[in-house]
Amino acid sequence: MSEGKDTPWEQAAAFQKIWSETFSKMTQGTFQFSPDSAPPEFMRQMRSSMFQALGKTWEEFMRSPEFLSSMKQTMDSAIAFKKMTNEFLVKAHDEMQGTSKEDLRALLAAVGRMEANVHARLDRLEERLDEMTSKPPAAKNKSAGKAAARPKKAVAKKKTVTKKKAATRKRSR
Amino acid sequence: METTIENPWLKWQAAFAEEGMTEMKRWSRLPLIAEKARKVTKGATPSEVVHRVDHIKLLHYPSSKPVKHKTPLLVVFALVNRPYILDLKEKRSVIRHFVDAGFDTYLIDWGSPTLADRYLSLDDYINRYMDGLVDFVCERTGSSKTSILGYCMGGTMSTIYTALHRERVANLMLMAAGIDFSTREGLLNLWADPNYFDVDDFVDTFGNCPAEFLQSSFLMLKPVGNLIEKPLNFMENVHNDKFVEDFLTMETWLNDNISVPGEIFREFVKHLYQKNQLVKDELHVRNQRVQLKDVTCPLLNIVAKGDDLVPCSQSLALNDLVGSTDRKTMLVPGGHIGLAVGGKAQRETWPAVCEWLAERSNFK
Repeated sequence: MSEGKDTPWEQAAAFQKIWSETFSKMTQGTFQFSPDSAPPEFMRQMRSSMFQALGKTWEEFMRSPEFLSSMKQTMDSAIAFKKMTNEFLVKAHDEMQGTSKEDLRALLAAVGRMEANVHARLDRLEERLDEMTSKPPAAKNKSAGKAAARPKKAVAKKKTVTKKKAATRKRSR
Repeated sequence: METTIENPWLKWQAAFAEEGMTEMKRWSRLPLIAEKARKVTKGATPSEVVHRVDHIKLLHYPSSKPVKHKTPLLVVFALVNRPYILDLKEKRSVIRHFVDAGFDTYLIDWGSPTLADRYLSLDDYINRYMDGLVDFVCERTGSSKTSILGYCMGGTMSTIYTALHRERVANLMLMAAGIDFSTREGLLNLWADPNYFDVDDFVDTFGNCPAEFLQSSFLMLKPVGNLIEKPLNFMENVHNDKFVEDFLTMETWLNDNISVPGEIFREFVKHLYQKNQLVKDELHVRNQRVQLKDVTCPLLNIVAKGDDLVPCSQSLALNDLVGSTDRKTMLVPGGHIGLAVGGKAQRETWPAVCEWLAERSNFK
């Protein structure tokens, strides 16, 4: 048997096996009745035991390699069909000069990449900001001293400018 | 001679007559089913939408009674179904338990993704949406941390979030959360095997994972029960109004699947189901390694014994991998959904969970 590729005969044999096992378990369940039970109750008990047997057998079957490989085949076929319809619809939209889902997908992917780039840049900026705000105290005092000096000079300069402007206005009057 | 055995022929006659009467009742109720189905409400506890991000809503459950606990609670549901299973009916509501116990309760409704959401990944959901919503809840309530309750896939996401942002999480409670995917107990684990399921091809072709695909997969976990026994059971009890109401409410939710954004579906299947990276500390979210030992907050792991969707062994592994010293497991009888809406869970489990959480929440 080739790995992972059961032939249809093998899959059919697996299905046949599960049904024969199911029926044998179900018939075992039909003999578990009490003569005191009324027919409707007896029927329900029989049905319940039949379904229990059926459920257990199906669960075993759904774990079998045959089921799993047939499931994969079904999935592969569904994906192939979907791809075919997608391609057809994209071509149809292109011919009609319209926008297809594929175009939208490409656009969304591009937006997603831009978003990721922006996030990455913001993360890097945040790291740099954290580094700057977590400078050692000595460096902080030095830079604080420099920063303290700067505004005074600016204020002084502003006052000089303001005085000059006031003087200009006086002369013009 | 005295005998206790009844005449079986008379007993059978009476049983047939009774069954006949019941059958007539069933047929008479059938035309009313459609009307009853239309009256099904989604969600029982009053709620308000307090925040929206993209297609996601944050619901708040206001209470007429004063809030007793300072730490708010944020409920995180899975991406595959609607979250109102946690608030299905008045006496089947997990949310109601928390609201009545005095918790300021919020719930994330992930909404229904569209084609535009196809590239949303774990990073988007955890670091952008969840983190943003936790920030919002903390700011709104004035608390620095929030407790989180995650259900199923929401539990896995909550665990990852807690590992990456432990400073925001006060307590972590998980319901049937998948952590260790190495087990082959559950059929989903087997079906997701890379030999049988090429998730890359699937997502590249379909985009978002279709809701119908997920619905079919869940149905096929118990084909006999879901496709044969359930309809028969319904037909047999269609004359029982309470049964019909419960049945229709549950079926409304079960058939209310939503699609899952392609990228996060790919990541879940590939990195968790197939490569089992979470337990190996190999999972990365935006270049950050997720290490379960970084979960150090109090942990309550609620696991359903009869869960066929997320088998016990998938969830139980977490307690030995986290760094929390305060950790507890609650093994509850029932299935995946019974954990939330089952009678025993409502009577015993959720009051106990509220008690556990109350001991670990700051009081106002």
